[in-house]
Amino acid sequence: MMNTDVLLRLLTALLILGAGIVAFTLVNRWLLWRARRGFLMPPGFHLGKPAILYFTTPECAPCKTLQRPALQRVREQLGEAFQIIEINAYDHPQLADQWGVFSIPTTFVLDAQGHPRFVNRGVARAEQLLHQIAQVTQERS
Amino acid sequence: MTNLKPVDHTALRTNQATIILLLVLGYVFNQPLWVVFVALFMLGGTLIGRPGFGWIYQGVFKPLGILKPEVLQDNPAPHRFAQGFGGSVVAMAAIAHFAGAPTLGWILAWVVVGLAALNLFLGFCAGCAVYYFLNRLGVPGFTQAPPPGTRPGFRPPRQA
Repeated sequence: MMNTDVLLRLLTALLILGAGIVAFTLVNRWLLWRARRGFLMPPGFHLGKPAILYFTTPECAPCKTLQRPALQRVREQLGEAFQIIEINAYDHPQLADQWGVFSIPTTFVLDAQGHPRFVNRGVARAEQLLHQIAQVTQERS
Repeated sequence: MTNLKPVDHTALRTNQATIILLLVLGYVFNQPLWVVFVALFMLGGTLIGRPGFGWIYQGVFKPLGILKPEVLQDNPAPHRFAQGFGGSVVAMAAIAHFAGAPTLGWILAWVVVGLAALNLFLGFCAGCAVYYFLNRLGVPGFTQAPPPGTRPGFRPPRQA
């Protein structure tokens, strides 16, 4: 009886948390749309090549231990077919704000025109980034 | 008026995460005493001007290097107000439990979970936004305006 009660409550909690995740996804999409609307070309972006815009800070530990190696793997797989633009959010607070960056690391996948297509808040795995770049590249061809 | 001081936002986020975890586990295992526990820490923290569960960060996560400080120039007062406001809602939730209205108690607890999650995941502090709104209305005691270049309730920009 008690176990059923705990299970029911767990299920309710998961449903509420799931609703929260859905809401978070929607807000993320809205922020991406906002970044696209108030579009500001990131420094160092060269038109014609998709890019990963990578916001980091010097103290960010997961950036060094996880995100950078993941980007390195993407670079090894794709070579010069795309650009990686690394932005220190401390040096460019306005840019971080305009792009709706509220946690580090944050990576954006930009199409060849520099428009944001995907956003990853927190560490993004190499496979995830490769999949997103592949989608951007497919749409282009 | 703004009176900016260094505020470690990692301590604030640890506090929010702990509040969420304890309230959700309290709900799952139907433990109203956990709600009382959270309310005591939140209100106690407000009284001494620190995040209620900031000691977990200061005593465990920071020394072990699991979490790194993110010190931003910010107003501490709105965060204190937000915690006090949240703590009062959790206290009301606890009172509702012991007054025989557990459904109301858990609804109030979930409201606090939602607001803490908003702050933790999106960087929007609803209590701080209320504080700045009261400041705009000129309510006595709410003396601090948002840091320059920051929308009320949002995290201030990082600086070099």
